[in-house]
Amino acid sequence: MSYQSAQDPRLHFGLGQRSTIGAVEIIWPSGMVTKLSNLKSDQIVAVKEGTGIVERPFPRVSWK
Amino acid sequence: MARIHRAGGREQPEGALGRAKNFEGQPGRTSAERPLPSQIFRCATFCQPRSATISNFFSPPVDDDGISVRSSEFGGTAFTVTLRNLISAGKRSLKFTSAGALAPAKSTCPTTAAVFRLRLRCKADPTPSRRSPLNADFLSGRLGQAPQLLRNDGGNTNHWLEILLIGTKSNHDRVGARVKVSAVISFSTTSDRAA
Repeated sequence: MSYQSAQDPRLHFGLGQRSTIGAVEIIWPSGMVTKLSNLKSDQIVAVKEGTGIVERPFPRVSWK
Repeated sequence: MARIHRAGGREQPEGALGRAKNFEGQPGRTSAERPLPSQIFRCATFCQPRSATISNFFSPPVDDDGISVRSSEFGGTAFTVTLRNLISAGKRSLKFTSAGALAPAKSTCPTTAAVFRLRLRCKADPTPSRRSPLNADFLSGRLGQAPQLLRNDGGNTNHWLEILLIGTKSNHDRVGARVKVSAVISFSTTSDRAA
C-alpha cells in the first residue's frame, strides 16, 4: 500500500491456509543473517538488525 | 480468499431481480451460499418512492453483516446510510474490488436523481465477536456520481505475516535486505526485498 508517495515499510507475506511459519531468514545488506523460526501467522513482527524480534506497538487486529 | 461478486449493473435481465428477492429472509444461509444477486441494483434502486421503507433500500444485495440503512434523507438528491460492522483495523487484510456502480434511475422512475450524494457515517461494530467482520460489505460514495457497492462474500480466511525491518542506525540500513519466509507445510519459499 502506498499513500502520497509513501510506501508501507512492512513486508507482507501471504501464507494462504498455512497458520505457522517454519523459518524466516533475513539477509541484511551488511551481510548479517537473522534467522527466526516457529512464528505464528497473522501478526506483525518487527526485526532489528543484530537484535532480532523487538517490541513495537502495532494496531491490534480485533477479530483475531 | 475474499470473493467479490458483482452486485450492480443496469443492463441485466428482468427476471433476476425476482430471484434475488426469493432468497431474502432465509435465515441460516450464509452469504457465500447465496446465489449471485447480480441484478438487484438495477433501476429499481432509485425508484423507491419517498414514502417507502428505506430500510429495504439495499436489502436484496446486502447480507446481514454488511450495509444497513439506518436513517435517510431521501429527498431525491441525498440520503444517509450507516455502515455497521465496517472493518476498521482489519480493512487492510480484506480485498475489495469494485462490484459495479449503482445505476442511476431511468427516466421512467418517479424520483430520478441525476445527481445525488452519499454521506457515509462509518462506525466499527461494537461487538465484533457476535458478527464476524470478515464478510463485511462496503459502500463508497462519490459526489455527483453513482455509489459503488463492494460486496465481500466469503471473507478472507487466509493467513499472513508482516515483517518490519529496523536498521541499526537508521532505515537506510534495511534497504536491500532479503527476507525468505518458509511455511511449515509448503516447500515453497517466498522472498521479498525490503524497501
